[in-house]
Amino acid sequence: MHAEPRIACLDLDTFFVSVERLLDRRLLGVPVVVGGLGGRGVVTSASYEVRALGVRSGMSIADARRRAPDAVYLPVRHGVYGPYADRVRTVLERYTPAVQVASIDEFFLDFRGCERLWARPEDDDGDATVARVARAMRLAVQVETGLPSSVGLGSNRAIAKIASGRAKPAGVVFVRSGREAAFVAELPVRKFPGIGPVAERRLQDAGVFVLGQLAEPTDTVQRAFPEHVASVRAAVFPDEAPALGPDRPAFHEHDPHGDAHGSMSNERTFRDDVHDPSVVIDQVRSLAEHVAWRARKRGVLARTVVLKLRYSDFQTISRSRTVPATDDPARMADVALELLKEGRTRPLPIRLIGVGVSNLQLPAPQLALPLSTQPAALSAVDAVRARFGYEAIRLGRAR
Amino acid sequence: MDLYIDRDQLAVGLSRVQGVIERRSTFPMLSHVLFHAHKDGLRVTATDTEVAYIGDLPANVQQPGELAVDASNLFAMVRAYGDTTVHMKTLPGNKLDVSCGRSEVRLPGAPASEFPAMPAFDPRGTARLSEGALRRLVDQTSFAVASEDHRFGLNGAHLEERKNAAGERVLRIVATDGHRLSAAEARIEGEVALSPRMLVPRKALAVMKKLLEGDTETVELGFGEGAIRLQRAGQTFWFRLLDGEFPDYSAVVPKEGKHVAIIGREELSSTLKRVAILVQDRARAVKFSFREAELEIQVHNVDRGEIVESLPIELEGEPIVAGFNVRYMQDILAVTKGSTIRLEMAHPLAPCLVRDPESDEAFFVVMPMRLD
Repeated sequence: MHAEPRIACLDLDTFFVSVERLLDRRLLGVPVVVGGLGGRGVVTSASYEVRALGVRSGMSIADARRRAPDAVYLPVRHGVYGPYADRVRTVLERYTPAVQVASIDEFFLDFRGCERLWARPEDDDGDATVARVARAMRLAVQVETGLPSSVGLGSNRAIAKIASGRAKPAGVVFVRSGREAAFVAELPVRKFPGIGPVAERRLQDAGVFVLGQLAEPTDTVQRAFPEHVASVRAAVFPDEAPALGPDRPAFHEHDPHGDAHGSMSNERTFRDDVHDPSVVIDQVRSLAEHVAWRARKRGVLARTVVLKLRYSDFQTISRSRTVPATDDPARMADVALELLKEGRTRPLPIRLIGVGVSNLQLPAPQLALPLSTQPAALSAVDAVRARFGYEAIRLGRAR
Repeated sequence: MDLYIDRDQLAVGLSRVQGVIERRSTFPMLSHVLFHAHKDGLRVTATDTEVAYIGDLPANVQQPGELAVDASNLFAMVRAYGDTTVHMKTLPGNKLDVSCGRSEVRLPGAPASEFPAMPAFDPRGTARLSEGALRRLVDQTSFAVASEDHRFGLNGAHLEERKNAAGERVLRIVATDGHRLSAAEARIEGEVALSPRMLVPRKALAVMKKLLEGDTETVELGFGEGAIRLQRAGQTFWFRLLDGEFPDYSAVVPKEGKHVAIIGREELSSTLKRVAILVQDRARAVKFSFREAELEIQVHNVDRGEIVESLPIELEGEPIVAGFNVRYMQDILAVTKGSTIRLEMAHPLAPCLVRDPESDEAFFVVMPMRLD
């Protein structure tokens, strides 16, 4: 049996820019950049007009301004975009029950078993049905939420994700079974999920530039990058990898929505380097509050709390500690502050601080009696935020 | 010390001691029982310093005296005896000679002076209730005490004095492990003087279960500083209370349920017995579908199989589907007596109130489980 192309990745195109354009029609057709506008801010989302000038997300705003001086620069407005992403999810759930939210602008969908539900006489086979449904779904998102998106379809998440990138803007790319290797062969290694800038540099230094070199590796490449080779081969030859083969659900076992995977973090670069410990402590608490809220929104508990610290001379350290699973901001903040106390060994001012969580797990199915007041208070906070946005309510602190 | 004692009497006395002694202690006296023979009989004493037990047994004492010996070995020996009379006699060098029928053993012992002194106890108040009632309070609540010791505030049972619906003074015991809660109450007379922020440890509850075998006889509870003393005919049990703030539980007791089901207790119990066989992992929910006149209970286990059973119920309100830990329900059914059981809930993920509709002396709250 072949691994059939039934996994879709729907990526919202220039999501923050698209939302800003929905809110202000004057921005249509105008080059727009959304990002942190302070001295050290970075680009979060850039419209295609700006991208044509070489502006990319992740680039510093200062850099972007040099390349696109005439663009409209807007600050990231937290709490504004979430409800739009929720609306998109609602549309997607009409097409398949297996929708996984990968990030605010990216969704994975599993269409296995849905072919017969959506089949029409004119469809040649299940592939045709799924491809047609994916196009209809993309259009429904566009029409009902006003947001453009791109959809990639493949036999697994990695291929679907890469395909969605190739489908931009506002298209659908379908990678048929058996065509995966050919599809990725000439793509730069960086296009593969999990290969970031550091890995890209290491691969390029070794002469590996395109994914084909990892899919069909030489002995040297195989020896030097066994993990990258394994993950690329698992994606492009799904039938050969029993561990990830067709019998295994695309979304991890015991975790039907993949919610417990990965990590989440928030960090903040100060406008000016900070000396005052109380400012740093407040920032850690605020970041922990945000990360804990994201965990609760996803319905996961975190076992590991991570603190990231960058000194004014750019030395960056990261410290982590594993604790009993929690989604409580006060608990996460306490751990992060302990890590800060232990990790900050140099008297230099601080440039950046970050709080993250990893080792995520789904809560046990057994619910707890609401005995203490804390969880009830947090769910009240969450309810307010669900209606009025994140900034509508913040945790205070007794001085 | 030289005495003759009925084998069964001695076995009962030693069995009560087994729950009190501490076998793993580095201090050997905590695994010993102290015998004190006096003209009226034999007194047995055991303690782990947190709980202490003193019991009087009828015996034909030839010569008074004292000696401490390992309690579990002697108990095992006495249980294995076939004859009806046991002869115990101290020998020089702190040895105990025990003979029964044709068997004779010599056990090493320790002088009474090495045995820990019993703590002084000065009750601020004493109250009385029937032995059967206290036994019921313990039975209906002890299973819900948190088993992990680190759950501060939940690792013991909470006591309170209150008035019941009829305006009578009652002693209420409440226990919870954070997922379910049990509360039971019984009429009490006398002066209840509870220490605040104090919990009854699990061990004390387990010992009480063993001791309280009577029904209408009266037991007396003495309330001291951080400790309670229980006295029944010929026996005294003392236990230290744990320090811990029991949570305010009133908020988790559902006030009114939109869905109320009345189910035959025996039928439900026998269904759950079968269902439990297929529940491999206690972390898995059993699906309870409450319909107009029927409760369907369903387990689907890839390895062990599937079971679907339905039983007749009376349901008020809309049908509802909820997941439960089958063990929690079984625990409740085992300690209620009525012909039916009443389940009341507002929502599939909200606390479920369980009670015997024929009795207002106890109620139970069970949190549901998420169904996959």
